[in-house]
Amino acid sequence: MATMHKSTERLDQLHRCVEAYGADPARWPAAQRDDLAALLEWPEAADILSEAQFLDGFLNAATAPRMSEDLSRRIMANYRAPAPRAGIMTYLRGLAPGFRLVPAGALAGFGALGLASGIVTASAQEPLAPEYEALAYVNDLSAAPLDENGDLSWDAD
Amino acid sequence: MGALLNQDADSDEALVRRAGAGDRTAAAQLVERHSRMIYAVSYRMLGSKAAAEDAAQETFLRLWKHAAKWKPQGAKFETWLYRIAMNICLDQLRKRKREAPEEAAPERADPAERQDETIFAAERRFAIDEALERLPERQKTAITLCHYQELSNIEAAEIMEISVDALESLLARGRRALKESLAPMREHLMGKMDDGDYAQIN
Repeated sequence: MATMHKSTERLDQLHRCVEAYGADPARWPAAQRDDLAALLEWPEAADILSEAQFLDGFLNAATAPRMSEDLSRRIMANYRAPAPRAGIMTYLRGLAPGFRLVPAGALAGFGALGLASGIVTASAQEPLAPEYEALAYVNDLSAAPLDENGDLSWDAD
Repeated sequence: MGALLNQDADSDEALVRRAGAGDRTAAAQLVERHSRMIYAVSYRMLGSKAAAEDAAQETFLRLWKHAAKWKPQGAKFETWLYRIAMNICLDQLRKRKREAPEEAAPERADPAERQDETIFAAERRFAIDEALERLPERQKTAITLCHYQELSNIEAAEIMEISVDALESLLARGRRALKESLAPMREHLMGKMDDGDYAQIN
């Protein structure tokens, strides 16, 4: 009974394989090929194969593609050596067509202005309340108090 | 060691890098190596010489465009190139369907090919060409890659970005549809067969 079940299972496998890949064992997946090819001796295999052979015959009769020799030349005619790598300015201009390089002097001026306004704003700030001081340390560990072992030392309160 | 280095220098991956850096000889080697396969798969998918030539040119144009930045990322170069070609063909088929849904299949036959074939062989060729033309895109892609390009199921599944099980299902459905489509031709052709034709069909 178990042998019969196994035979049916193997014939089902052969059927599924032939349905997908056709009757020629050379076209079957390599992992299954030898195992399933052994079933070709079985009388039941003939029915499974005959329908597939009919279709294989048709598939092999389809018009064969014949590439014109000239096609390779035309493909190569489209080959262009790539342009040198574009710099950051080209990229930025691609994003914003009106973008122009700001003169270096103007850029330095903007930088100095930004720095000055930062200093003025920082000096005008009120000192932090003690309960917020710990939070400031979290963001600036270089200013955090360290004990003699170099570990952070926080007061519990 | 020297042979190994040469082999590496001639690999598709090395040629793509060189073509991307402007090496025309490397680009020509890639065309020599892969253009036939790209043309063949495009022809099978699109069914006309002109459309297949356009698709092959477009495939290589995209290759040149991406060559400088191309990285293997797990897939073989050939798999990647096949995928580009298949996508171009599928776009083309969808465009065709949108623009002229009822249009007849393109003429595949090459007149020179007809001269030495029997009426039986010609009829059979037309029948299968038409039946293939009518297949749904994904079934046609699966049959093209496995039957005509003779790729393994794993390679074909990778190109189509599906599992092997899904590929097998497409193949089986495609073959079933072809059989149904060719059934009326079967009796007609059987009646016309001579011994040589019979040997061909079986």
